[in-house]
Amino acid sequence: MSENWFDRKIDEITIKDNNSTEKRFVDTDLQKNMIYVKQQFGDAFDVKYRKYNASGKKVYFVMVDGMCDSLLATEQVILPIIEADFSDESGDKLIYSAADRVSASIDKAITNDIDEAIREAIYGSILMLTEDSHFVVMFGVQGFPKRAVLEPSTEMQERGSREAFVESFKDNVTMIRRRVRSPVFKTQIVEVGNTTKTRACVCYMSDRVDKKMLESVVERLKSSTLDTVLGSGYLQPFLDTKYPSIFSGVGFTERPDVLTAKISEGKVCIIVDGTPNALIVPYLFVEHFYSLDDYLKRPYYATFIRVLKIVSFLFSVFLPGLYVAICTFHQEIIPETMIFGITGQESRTPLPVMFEALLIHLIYEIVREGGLRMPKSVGHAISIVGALVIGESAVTAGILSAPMLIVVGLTAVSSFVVSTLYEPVAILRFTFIIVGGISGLYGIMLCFSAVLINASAINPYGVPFTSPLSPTKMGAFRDLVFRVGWKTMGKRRMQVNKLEK
Amino acid sequence: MELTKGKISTFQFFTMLFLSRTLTTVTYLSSYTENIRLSDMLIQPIFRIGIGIVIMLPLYLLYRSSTSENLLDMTIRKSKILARIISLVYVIFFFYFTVVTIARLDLFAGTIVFPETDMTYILIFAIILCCYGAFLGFETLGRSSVLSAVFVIPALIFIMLTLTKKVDFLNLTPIFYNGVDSVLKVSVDSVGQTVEYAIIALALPRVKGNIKKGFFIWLVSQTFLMAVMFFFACTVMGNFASTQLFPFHTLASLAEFAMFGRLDAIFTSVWIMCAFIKAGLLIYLQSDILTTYFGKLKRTTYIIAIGFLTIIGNILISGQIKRFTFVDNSMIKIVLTFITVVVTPLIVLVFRRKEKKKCEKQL
Repeated sequence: MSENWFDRKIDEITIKDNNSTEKRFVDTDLQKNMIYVKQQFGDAFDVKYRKYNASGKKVYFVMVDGMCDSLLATEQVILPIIEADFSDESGDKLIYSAADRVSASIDKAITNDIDEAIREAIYGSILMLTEDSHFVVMFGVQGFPKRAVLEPSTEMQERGSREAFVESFKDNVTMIRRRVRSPVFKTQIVEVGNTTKTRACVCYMSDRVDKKMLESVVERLKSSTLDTVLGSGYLQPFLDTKYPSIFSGVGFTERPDVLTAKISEGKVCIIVDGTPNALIVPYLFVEHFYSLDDYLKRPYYATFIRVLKIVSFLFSVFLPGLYVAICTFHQEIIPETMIFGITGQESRTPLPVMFEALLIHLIYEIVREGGLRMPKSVGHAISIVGALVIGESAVTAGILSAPMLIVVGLTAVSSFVVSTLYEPVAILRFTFIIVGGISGLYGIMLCFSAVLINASAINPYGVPFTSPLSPTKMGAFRDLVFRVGWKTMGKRRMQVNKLEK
Repeated sequence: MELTKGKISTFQFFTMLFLSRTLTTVTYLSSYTENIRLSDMLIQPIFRIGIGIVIMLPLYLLYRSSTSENLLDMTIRKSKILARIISLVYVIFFFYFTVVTIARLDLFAGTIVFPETDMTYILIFAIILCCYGAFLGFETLGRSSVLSAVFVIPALIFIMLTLTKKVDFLNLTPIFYNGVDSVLKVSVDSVGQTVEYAIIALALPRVKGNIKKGFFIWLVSQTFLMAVMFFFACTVMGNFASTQLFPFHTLASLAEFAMFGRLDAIFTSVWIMCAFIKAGLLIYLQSDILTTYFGKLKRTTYIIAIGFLTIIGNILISGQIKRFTFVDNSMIKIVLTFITVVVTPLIVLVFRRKEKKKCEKQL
């Protein structure tokens, strides 16, 4: 029983995870094994049990309908086994012999752990059990429905590939293999989630990855104390810095080409089964301003785009807060030509500038969230409501001022330029509005300093989040704001572990 | 905690000290130089360098004798009590400068930016954030100081550039107009306001890289900054500068760029960023000393206690100009600096020499 009051309240509504690691071995008594398997599956309608006689020996096949390709299972596994002659073989020998009879194109594995066999069956394998054997043979005949490879939906590129990750991690790994035709690309499977037993595939390039970092990633994944893992986001906190921060040292991508670029810099990526997004560690602050298009276009244009992104980021974080601070406390900063217009507009609205800014940003976030979750056919209606009803009508009615609407519009558009930073930016924007409204530029600068130091604290794998700006690595400046051309970059590739303090 | 231990680069360390010194420069109060003409302040940084190098000699000799230990580590092997007394002196010294740093910010905000506003909550907010910075540790402070410098240095250059068209050389007066003594006095005052020497004394073993080069660049760059700031204050404002409580703030408010006037907002930003780094570093050092040499409580507890005392100290000074003048006294600073930078290292040096001779005799 927990000592803490809050922990006791949590105990009242939760149960401890089933993290028993006790192994259950296959029994030589087939009936016992089948009873156990049936107990585990219960009355599941989609689990099929088929009993056959293979040269007079009792053989059971267990499969989960829907997860297996039935035709493949019948033609390539069941038929060859029941038609084969096993008259001289029994028990363990029969199991091994049956495995040999099945076509080489089918994945085969033999285990003495019955729970592992059940997990494999759930994931689309067909199990074969027989009498007097200590083993089960599993044939991989997966045939569950999956989404086709489509275009990326959040990381659009003008000249990059049109492939995005899908939910099946095997397909995702294949997409990377196609890009790295070298054995240095390595993968390691880690099972996460006590109940879901989700597979996380750790990807890296063995010739450049920092071994300590790799060990740390695998260790963190293994020590993730979760019952269910339904997406890569579940694992992000375990891979991130231990220190609470508004930013994250873990990045994500839905593009196989971006993932390939990251692992070629010595980073480690994690593809989680069932998620069309891969995690990248360590992820630096400056990387939020990079995109694959930067490397596919001329360097001067890539530089221009990066500057644009930095400006947009600063706009999206500071603009509303600065506007509130200046209008409330530092009117002297506003040029004479503008001050009368702004004052005139603001004086006609009933709310103080800070509350006006908070209200309009809150409305904007509601509209954005609504637009994100709504069916696409209704999305247009949201835009109309947002633009006409809330925007124009609110100004006409004198509830909001036009300059404030301009600020919100500019902020909203800017925040999507660096979309990967949207979450911290949204929170920081509100913070700066409140702080700017209470203590002017003073508060904003203090808060900004705190944000800087908070970002500087992120250092989960010995590579600070703020690197290569601080600690300053002059060599990395060839691809920071300015990007040199490919001829200059040549064969030299960046090594993330060299960016450490 | 994983973030507190370990070394930082020379660049990060001296950037931190540069920002700390920049704060002292930009928050220069005209009351310090009542008997001196502003033109003399142009020559003062050169005197300052000389005095600075001389008073740093004991520390340099001490550092040469052991690069991996600070003077407190050296003392604790000889006498635990003496080490604790010296560490307490440093804690008081750093605490005093933390209070003064925040008090100047409070004075500035309370008299110039928001004269009608109660500054208490901003003050508390600022100290809490500084404690947060200290809590994150030395490495984090080092990293964030470089990032802050990316904003601070261009901002100062920008302000100076916008003032170039307002420079009037007729505002310059002959140097040493009131004699050399007053310039020397101001230089000593200025050295007395340099808490960075004491920071060097304690933190140097936690810095990796070419320290001599870093120290030299830091010394030259801060002297150059002072000279440039005083040059603009003198040539743009003339005698008007001495009538202003914060002359550099007034200078920044005269800066104009295109249709934008009153660039003092940028100046204020520089001030706050530097103050955050400086106060954070000082609080961190206090907590580190207390944890290492007294060590009964956790570092976080010491940070909270120091933060609490800083809040109380500043609330007592806030809005009371007489109390501020009493606390922000040049003589107190000079004495404290002399004790921490000259006397203490000399004592430790003597101890070490004796120890060395004893060892040699035994051999």
